[in-house]
Amino acid sequence: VTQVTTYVRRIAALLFAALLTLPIGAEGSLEYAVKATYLLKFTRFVVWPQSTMAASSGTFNICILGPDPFGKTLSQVISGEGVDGRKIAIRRLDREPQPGACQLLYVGEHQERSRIASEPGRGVLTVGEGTDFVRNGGMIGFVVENRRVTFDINWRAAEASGLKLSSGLLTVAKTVIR
Amino acid sequence: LLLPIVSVHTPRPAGDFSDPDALKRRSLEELAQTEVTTSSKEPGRAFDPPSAATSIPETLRRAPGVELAGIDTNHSSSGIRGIGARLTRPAALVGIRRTGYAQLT
Repeated sequence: VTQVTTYVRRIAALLFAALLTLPIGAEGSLEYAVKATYLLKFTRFVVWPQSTMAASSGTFNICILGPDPFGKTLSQVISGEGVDGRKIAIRRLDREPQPGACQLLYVGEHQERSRIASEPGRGVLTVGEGTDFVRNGGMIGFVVENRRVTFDINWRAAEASGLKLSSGLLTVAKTVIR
Repeated sequence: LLLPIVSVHTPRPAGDFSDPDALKRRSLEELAQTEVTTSSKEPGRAFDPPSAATSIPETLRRAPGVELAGIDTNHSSSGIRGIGARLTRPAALVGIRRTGYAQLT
């Protein structure tokens, strides 16, 4: 009986030790869970030109260029959601998207990120990381500051691409380039 | 004395927003106010203290008003707000606690 007790205790101790080494709340992914939620929210504050909506194959495509930092969170967030009656779909890309393939393009780590972000094609909302993203021609750049995720907007680039950003989006943005 | 040790455990941000539905219910403004990292500013593990203090003496050295100086491996000089004590290692901690309580009265 004592042997069994010792055995059980050892397992309990091991489980406890394993529990302690788990990342607390996985803050890294909480950051991207918030960013994934933003991607969905952005679609509620942007009007896409009719031409680009017609070009897509019946779905509203959120494309991720480069390694996907969102993991499962983005698919959980967009589950059951749509834009203008179209179901949202996620496309993961390792090269520049074909014209009309994406309505929203998240530009992740990619060697040609600057070029692709600055000339994404008409009606493609580009989202990326950092204040430099919008300065280099991207439209919405996530900024992590004071432990919170906010974003900068390049309104001029969005207008040039035929996208209409609502004032509700612009007022929440940290910086707006006009 | 226990306070600095307790604070070594990284606190979770208030509320559990890692649930996608809970996040989706938040407005843009509320999302912009959602804390995504702890005070360490880096995703942490339970045993990584936010202040990078890894031992009790190290934690004490970082506490305001506490002086701690090692004389050799077995003797340390410690003091709280000017009241010092030169003691062997186990006694030093007891000494600090006593001086600490004395200061409170």
